[in-house]
Amino acid sequence: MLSPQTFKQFSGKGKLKFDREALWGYIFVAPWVIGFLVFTLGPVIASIGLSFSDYDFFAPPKFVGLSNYIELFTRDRLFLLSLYNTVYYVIFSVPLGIIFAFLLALLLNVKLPGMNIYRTVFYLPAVTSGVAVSLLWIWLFNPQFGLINYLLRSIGLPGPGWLVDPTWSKPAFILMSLWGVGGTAVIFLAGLQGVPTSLYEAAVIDGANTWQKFRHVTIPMMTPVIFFNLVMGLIGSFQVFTSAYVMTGGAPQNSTLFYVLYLFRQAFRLLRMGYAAAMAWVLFVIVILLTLIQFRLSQKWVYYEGEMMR
Amino acid sequence: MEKLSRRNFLKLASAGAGVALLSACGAQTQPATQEPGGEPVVGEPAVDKVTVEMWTPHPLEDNIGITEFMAENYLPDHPDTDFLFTRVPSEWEQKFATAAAGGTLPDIFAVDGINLPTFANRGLTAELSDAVIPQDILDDFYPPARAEMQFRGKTYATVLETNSIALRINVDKMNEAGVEPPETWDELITTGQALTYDINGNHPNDAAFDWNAVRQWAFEQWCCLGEGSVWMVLPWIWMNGGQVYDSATREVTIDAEPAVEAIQFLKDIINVHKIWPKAGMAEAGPEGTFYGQVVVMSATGAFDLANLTETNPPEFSWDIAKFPRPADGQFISGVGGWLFSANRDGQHLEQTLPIMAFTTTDTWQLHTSKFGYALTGRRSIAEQRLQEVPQLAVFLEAMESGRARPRSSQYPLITDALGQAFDEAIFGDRTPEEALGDAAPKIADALAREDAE
Repeated sequence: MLSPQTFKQFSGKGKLKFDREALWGYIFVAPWVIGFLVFTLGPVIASIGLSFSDYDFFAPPKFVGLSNYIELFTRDRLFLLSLYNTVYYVIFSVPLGIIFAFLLALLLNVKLPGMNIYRTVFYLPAVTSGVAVSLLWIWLFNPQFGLINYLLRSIGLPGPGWLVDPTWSKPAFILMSLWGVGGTAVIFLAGLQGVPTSLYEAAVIDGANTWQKFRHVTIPMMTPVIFFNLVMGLIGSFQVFTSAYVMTGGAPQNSTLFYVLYLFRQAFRLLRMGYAAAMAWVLFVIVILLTLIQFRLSQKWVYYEGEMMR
Repeated sequence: MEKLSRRNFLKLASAGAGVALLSACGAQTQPATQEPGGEPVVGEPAVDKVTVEMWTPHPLEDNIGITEFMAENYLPDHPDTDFLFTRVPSEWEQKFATAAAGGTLPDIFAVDGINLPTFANRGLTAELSDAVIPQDILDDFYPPARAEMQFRGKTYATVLETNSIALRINVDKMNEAGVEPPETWDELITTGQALTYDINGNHPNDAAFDWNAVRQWAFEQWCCLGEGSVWMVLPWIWMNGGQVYDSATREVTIDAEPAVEAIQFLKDIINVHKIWPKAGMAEAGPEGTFYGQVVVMSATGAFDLANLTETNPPEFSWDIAKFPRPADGQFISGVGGWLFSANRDGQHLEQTLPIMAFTTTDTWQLHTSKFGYALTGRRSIAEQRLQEVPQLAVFLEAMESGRARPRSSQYPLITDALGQAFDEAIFGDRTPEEALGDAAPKIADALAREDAE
């Protein structure tokens, strides 16, 4: 933002002189900057302090040192359970989501009449309200009257209890997450359309078949997009909330008590804001560590067009 | 005229937006002595009129036409008052809590009875003295409803709606099976096994009974985590002589024998006697489990009578029955509901407290009890309604002997511990001794926090 044009040279007295254009620039960005400082950065910093306090909304926060963090790791069985539930969800939903989205993007990249309609249809879940989608899936997962079990029964398979069975409740959420891969697929689609045709032509000249073109041209060229979706998917999946809040509330037997749902419960049901803030910071540390690990590992498998071949 | 440049246009636009924003922030209600256009009223004495604002999650405009009702029945006698109702339809818990924290609660707000101690203990609710609710009116409230209105002997709320729990029963299915509504826990098992059968017609005591393919369940009640579950389970413990803690000594007794036995009984009617779905709630189509005739006996509250009698009457004969009790126990229902509280720090307490008093009058109570909120707390009003809705009888009996949930300012922590223990013991793999044993120290912790407040 602060390009050389936005302010004049330092004067002889060392004072910075803004020209009128720069002033107006700052005035225009001021609402956003003020909003960011007051409503985002301020609360983020405040939450660090709150995480070391006992705060119930009504009385002033009381400093309790590390006790919220100690309780999390030593006495709160549900904290560890919610972490386990979330990690389980992430481990399955993120890779499966990327694979499904990639395959979907490959299909949507085929030149067929009416393809824009298909693209729109597959993208629709990504722009549909999470609550509406959740209500829809409650019916789809109904063990006796739901469409999924109806289809399973029609091929002779017993339908599980899905949302009412602790064994199947997490797989149900993973299955549901795959329905919303349209957004990721659109990013993959953009990436696929950016792969230079000349690379495929060169591969054909070298005698590559379809699989070899996919394996040695498409996938390497798509690794930055795969990496982007992996990072974003991981961050998003750790914050799974709306579907669990609407569909199960954490039941049955806390099998769908995901991390952010438990955090929400601590904050707004039990009014333990300090404890919830501590949970938020633990989640932040987990996510940032995993993201850093991904960035480190990406050096071994992500190919950027502009860089030298390793 | 000089052409407006893009830069000047943007400057003007931002200045205009700023002015609009500032004026919106500063918007105030018109003084009551002025017409909307700003012209002073001529010839009438000026009255300092204030607007008393009420928030509830309930659709009181749709249900009881609250604005029109107040305009006709209250405001003419109170020329200094205007009334504004606002419904907070979703996420009300957060919105009310953040409003309380930010000091922006309205003059009157709805509060769940279980949360009143939390609000009262933090000084958010105005005490309603005898001058607001006369003693004879207060005495007319059913004891558990009155208990919900109070905290540590002082009254902080009036009743928006209150409920007791009973069983709605599909009489046709009972007749078909040749059984009567069960009165004891033992009868619940035998009756339940006669009513429950799988898709092949096998009952739970038949060797071929398929637990995974049940066509009709005898019993279900709200379950599995959350306050509704705690509300439904506690009466079973009370009926067996147990309690969460002794309110006098504050000794936690949720892990004592009566409570453990009650939870074991509920666990057994799922896993041993197989008359209650192992998932807690039966699965049904859009009609629901009771209306869809998948479940014969289903727990409900008095609020459901409006559905059963008027809005959506079932296509089969139904009745209301008391919950079964232990052979040597008595019927005790859970009682709970929604209250109105006045903001202690509200700017219009002088105009607000009379409205609080109005909600306890015959006029208000009779009107509101006719619109889906079958019980509004006062015995004499409920008995008048009983003449019109005879199915209320069981619920009213339940109001007499029922109990409010623990009255603690740390109830959220208590119910969290209870809900987790009930879920793990009744529907999960833990024994009642283990699960309730885990809950006991958490509840003791919560009580200690309350004592330290």
